[in-house]
Formats: sequence, structure tokens, C-alpha cells
Amino acid sequence: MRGLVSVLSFAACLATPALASAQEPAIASAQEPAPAAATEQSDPWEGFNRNLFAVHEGVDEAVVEPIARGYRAVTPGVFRQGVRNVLRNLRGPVIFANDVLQGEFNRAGTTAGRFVINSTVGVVGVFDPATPMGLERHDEDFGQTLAVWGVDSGPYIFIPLMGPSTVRDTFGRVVDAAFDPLNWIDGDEVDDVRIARTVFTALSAREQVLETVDDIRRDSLDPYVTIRTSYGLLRESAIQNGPADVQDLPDFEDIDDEPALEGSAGGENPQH
Amino acid sequence: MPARSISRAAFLAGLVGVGLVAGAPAAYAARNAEAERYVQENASSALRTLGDRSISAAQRRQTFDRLMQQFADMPRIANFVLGRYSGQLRADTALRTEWTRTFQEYAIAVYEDRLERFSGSAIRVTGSTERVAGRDVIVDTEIQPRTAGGRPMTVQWRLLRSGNAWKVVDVSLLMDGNQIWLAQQQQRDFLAQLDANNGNIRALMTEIRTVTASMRQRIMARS
Repeated sequence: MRGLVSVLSFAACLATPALASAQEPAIASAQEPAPAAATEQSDPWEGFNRNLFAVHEGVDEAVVEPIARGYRAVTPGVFRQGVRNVLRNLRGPVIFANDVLQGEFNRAGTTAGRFVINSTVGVVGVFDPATPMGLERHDEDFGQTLAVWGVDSGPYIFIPLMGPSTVRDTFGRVVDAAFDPLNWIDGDEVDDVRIARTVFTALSAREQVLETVDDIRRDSLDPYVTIRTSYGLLRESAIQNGPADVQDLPDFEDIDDEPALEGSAGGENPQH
Repeated sequence: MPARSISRAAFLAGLVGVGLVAGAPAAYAARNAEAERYVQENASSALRTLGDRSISAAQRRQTFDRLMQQFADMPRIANFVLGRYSGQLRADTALRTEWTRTFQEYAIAVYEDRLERFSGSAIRVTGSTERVAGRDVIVDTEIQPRTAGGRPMTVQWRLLRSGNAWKVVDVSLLMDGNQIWLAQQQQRDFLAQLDANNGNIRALMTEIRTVTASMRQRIMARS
């Protein structure tokens, strides 16, 4: 199945800010038939978004992708992993703030513990000794916090060079920037650090999804739609902090069975 | 009462302590050993087949096709991915047969193309959860990358028992806490296509066949 377009490298994609920072408002009642519009990501600006997506693809193929391939070619895997670790560690304060705002105090403790251990024992985040100690990494952002507070995702938007998003999640990115201590400090050196972080964040994210994007471009019936649907599903998972309750999974009717509900959406996930 | 100052070291130790408590294992959930064994044996066979260079490409494809048809409930998945449009299959037997075959060829080609990257990797069952006792089970596995030092990928398999046989109906990937169920993603993609073409399943099949043919060419060129 084309979902498997993602199989291998999609895992990497999950971790990337570009494709992976999304979600939907979770949990509608399982008894309520899902409204058709809620099954897929709301995209009332699709025509405009497709134009932006075309711009993104043009710039990516001409500039960003070749640089990402070059980055992979000239750096060893251990170096790139170290870069990813440092970038993730720098997000610690933002994740911590959002853990707290969501009332997830255990997870806030995990984030704080990871930040302290990896910033010290892990040599400013290059290594990740916290994970083997049982402090598993997770991500949070203000878009997720708003979803937890009940704010709807709003329309889907595709932002060139930043990727898929929604109105809610785009606003969340702005707030996350305000949470980030690195943005509070003035000074030329700090400016350099901020620029370096931005460049490496983009480079590292793109490098991680090289195969995924290749697969989507090559095999997807509609790459724009595949990216939009992937983004929606990943954000749903991120908002509910991981795997759904197994009872919330959709039914897979046998074609010979009678439909469960007259006129219902044949196994479409009730929580969407 | 005078405020008692907390040393920085004590504060940091406290944070770490909270984190360690938060990392405690989750509560026990019911497991299904039979479904776990089924996934272990069949998923291992599929990955082993894709990595078997002692047989010809044609034999490899034939063996993989047979394995996937046994392992996965293709008719049920083919029905699911059409979502609200699946009613058309009930009303038109010829369409149902044609759709199921088209989807199956497409799905197996995608699996063969993508899973080749995992060929020869070790798969290990780590647990399972019964959604419906004895009939609907989610099996947790880890696929260990071939490259040393890589983090294992967590993959979940959803199995339904029909008669005496288990069959996979969906697969999820989990990393960094985010999960995606592939049949659900597939359903959303197809629904978007069908919404745009007035629910024309035959037009969707034409597009799918083109993609399948392209994947088959690529797989052959690689063999």
C-alpha cells in the first residue's frame, strides 16, 4: 500500500519538524458518525496551497535537496546523529514549557531530566545518555498544546521551505519561538548560534527524509495529498502523545458483512 | 519561617529523579501468544525472502507474493481503504473483483519495493494487546536495522482472526512517540482522489496500475 511509501524512512520523517509537527483535535465520541469533512484535513485553500507547494518543490529540487545530499555525502552518520542530538536538546526548554502547559508533569520531568543529563554528561547534547537511562525522548509544541486545550486545527496551509502546517500550528510555531531561551539573548555570537541552528535544523530535517520524499515524488498518486494526509495523521498521534487506545482503532469490515451503520463511512476512523 | 535555599545540585538531582519516575514501565495488558508467534514467523519469512539472493528475481517475487497473500487479508484491506466509497463494491461484483486484484498487486509491489531496504533485518516481537479477545490483536515488534548502532524501528501489526486463520489488516510505524497506521493513511489518500473524481473507482484503478507498473520496472531493474 502506498502508506508503505513511508515504510522505511517515514520513521525519520516523523521526527522531522517539517512533516512531523502536526495534529488534529483528537477524541470525538466513538458513537457519533464522523462528519465527512473531519475525516480528512480541512483544506479550503487547496488551490493556493498547491501553488505554494509547487514553489516549494522547485526550490527544494534546485537548492535544498542537492545541499542535503551533499551534507549526507561528506559527513559520517555519527556526525549527523550528533547534530540531531544537539538540535533536539536545544528544544528541551520549549518542550518542557509545553509539557507543563498541557498539565503533563511526568513528561515535563522527563524533559527536564533529559535536558540536564544530555547537556552535561552528554556534552552539550551531542550524546544522548538519557535514553538508555529510561528517559525516552518526546516532542511537544504549542500547536499541540492548543489542540489539548480544545483549539481546532483550522485550515491546512503549506508554507514553502517550512512544509505542511495548519493555522493553529503556524501560530504555535510563533509562540514556541517566544518560549525559546536562545531567542531571549542579545549578542553577535548568539546571532551566529541562532543562524547556525536554523541552517542545521533545515539541513538535518531534509537529510532525514531524502528517501521518503523520493518515494512520494516517484510513487504517490498525488504528492500534495500524501504529504497532507501524513501530516494530519502524525499530528493526531503527537497530540494524543503516541499510540491511540486500541479501542479507538477503526473496524475492518469483511466485504461480505453488512455495513455497521447505514450510510456510514465504511471503517473510517471514528475519532477523526 | 526562613526560606530554605535549595542547592543547584539538589535541584538538578530532583529533576532527574522526576524524569526517572516518569520513565517507569507501563501497566500490564493482555497478550496473545498465538498472534505474536504468527507475526514473528511470517514477518521474518518475508524479510528473509527479500534478502535471499540464492534464488532468481522471479522466484523471489513469486515467494514474496504468496507469503503476503497468506500473511495479509488483502480483500479486507482493499475494502477498508475505499472508506465511504466501498459500498460500490457491494453493488458490483465485477468491480469488486477488479478492485481487489488491482489493489493487491499494487500493495504487494509497494511492500516489495520498500521492505527490500529491510531485507535481512532481524524482527523481534516485544508484546501484544488484545482489542477483542482472541479475534483482534495488536502485536508490537522491533525491526533491528542492518547497520550497527542504528535504533530499532517499532512496528505494530494489527491482526484479525477469521475462522482458524490470523491475517494482518494494518501496520503502524512508531518513532519518537508518533504513530502512523498505514491502511488509515492509504484510506485518506484514496478518499481524496475519489472525492476529486466523483467517486470513480475505475479511474482510480487506472492511476494505481500506472504506479504499480512503474514500481515493478524499478524492482526488476534492481534485481
